[in-house]
Amino acid sequence: MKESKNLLSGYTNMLLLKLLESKDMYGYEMIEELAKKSDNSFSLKAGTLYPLLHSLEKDGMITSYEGNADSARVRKYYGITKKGKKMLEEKTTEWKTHSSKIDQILEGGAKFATI
Amino acid sequence: MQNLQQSNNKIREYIDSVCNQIRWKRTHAYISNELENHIVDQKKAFIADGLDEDAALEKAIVEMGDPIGVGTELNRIHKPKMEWSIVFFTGIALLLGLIINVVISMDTDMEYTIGKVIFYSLLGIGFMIAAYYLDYTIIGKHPNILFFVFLIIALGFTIISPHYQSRVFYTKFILLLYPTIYTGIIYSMRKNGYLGLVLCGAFMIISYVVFTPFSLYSIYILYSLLCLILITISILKGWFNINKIIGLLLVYIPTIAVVIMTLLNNQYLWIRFNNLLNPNLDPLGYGWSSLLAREIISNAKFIGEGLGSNSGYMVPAINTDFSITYLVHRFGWISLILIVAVLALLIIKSFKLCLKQSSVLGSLVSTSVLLTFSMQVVIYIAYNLGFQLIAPLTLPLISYGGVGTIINMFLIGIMLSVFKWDNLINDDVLISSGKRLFNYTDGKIIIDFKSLSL
Repeated sequence: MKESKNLLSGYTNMLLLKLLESKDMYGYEMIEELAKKSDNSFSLKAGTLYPLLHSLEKDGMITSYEGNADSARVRKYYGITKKGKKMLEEKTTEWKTHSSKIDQILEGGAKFATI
Repeated sequence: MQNLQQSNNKIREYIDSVCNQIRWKRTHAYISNELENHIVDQKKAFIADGLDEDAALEKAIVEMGDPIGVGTELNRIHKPKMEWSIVFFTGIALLLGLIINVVISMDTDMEYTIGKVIFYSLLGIGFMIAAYYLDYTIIGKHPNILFFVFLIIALGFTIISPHYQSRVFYTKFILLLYPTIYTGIIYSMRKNGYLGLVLCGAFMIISYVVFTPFSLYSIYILYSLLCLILITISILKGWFNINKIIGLLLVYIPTIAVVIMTLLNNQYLWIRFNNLLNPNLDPLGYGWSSLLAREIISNAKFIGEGLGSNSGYMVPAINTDFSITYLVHRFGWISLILIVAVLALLIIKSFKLCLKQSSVLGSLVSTSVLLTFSMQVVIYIAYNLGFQLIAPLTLPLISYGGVGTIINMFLIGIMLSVFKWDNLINDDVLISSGKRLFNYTDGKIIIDFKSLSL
């Protein structure tokens, strides 16, 4: 299933925003959550994650703050902004349209094959 | 212990090779903290999965991805950048100033100043570049020292030089830096809430004592107004962390009281104020140059030389104080429109960039420069059109003036150095002195472990 990474990459931002929609998280937590929610299909490398997060923050989609939740370790938490929520909505619609079209083609193809 | 040291070294090694790719050093601390936390979390997770310490660390680092690639990507995001648009408009304004000075010099057979204009413009560019590379955050780090050193320098300039017009004149321009330096006071005082607000006022009173014995009265009022605007913005933005209405009342009630008291007791201000409204009251005294400017302007055409024989040559100090009056007479209103267009582009672009700043200090400093710049433009143009409340400082970058040009270019350089920083770097990263373990900001206690120099 790791091959799906390429297909996913354009929509990683959308997934990150989706994760942050439910609660504020720090980087490692996001990777874990993403893996958990996708039954370990999507494994995002930290080296990919942080540049994406920093870009999103620069564009005002998310904000960050420092906090120490469990241990004494100070972590950088990310939270979604209004602008980010709007972008998430747009991206989600876009994704749904795309994927339904892809489904349509795939199903069409299947029908064609069965004839 | 040996093990811990080794594992720390390995993490360090990875982070260093990421940071080596990132040109902008100030982000290093910010990025390495985050990456280090991540590696440690990942390592713990692997240990929980049953790996031993070393293997877990090894795997955690591999999981991070290629450090060079990560560093390059982060460098792309966190590049310090020069706002070329601002540089471009500044250059256009300087060029326009040069052309205007050439025209005025040739028209009026005045002392040939072109060499000096070029010299001061080049010097100004040097100051602008220097300010761009200087670290403006010093304003937030050592606000009090900077404030008093600045006042002493300004005072020194005024006392040492003999007291004729042109000397106080220098101090007048040096004081253009005052609002920007004052932002350091606002920045450091904002953490003290209401008390901070009162102390901001105290600093204004201190500077009053320094300014006014040397007849810099009107200049002081002008800069107080700019500082008042900066304080108002800070209150409205919630940077003082106080009730906004009470805060505003705390600032404006004493201010209005002082203004009324001053107006009641100060004849000179009344005269000037009346002159602004009606220069005919004193046509041979304060009203003289207002009336002259108004007369010249009233005869101006849209394009081409205005009516009234040679009246353009009758205004004093054309290239410093009356360049617009002269140009409007000589070439028509079109010249004013051109000048205003260039300066307005510079001001609007700066304004947009000021709004984008997320750090409090960055916003304050860039806004102070923008205000100082715009204030000069407005006063100069109003003065040249015959609305003369106080003597103009300079038409920034355009009218002739050595010190004025240098200081204005320096201020633009400071603004560029604010815009250079990434807007996602917050004040704590920007100003981190690395000394305090506990920092209290925005209602959160932040513990800074770097302060322990681990």
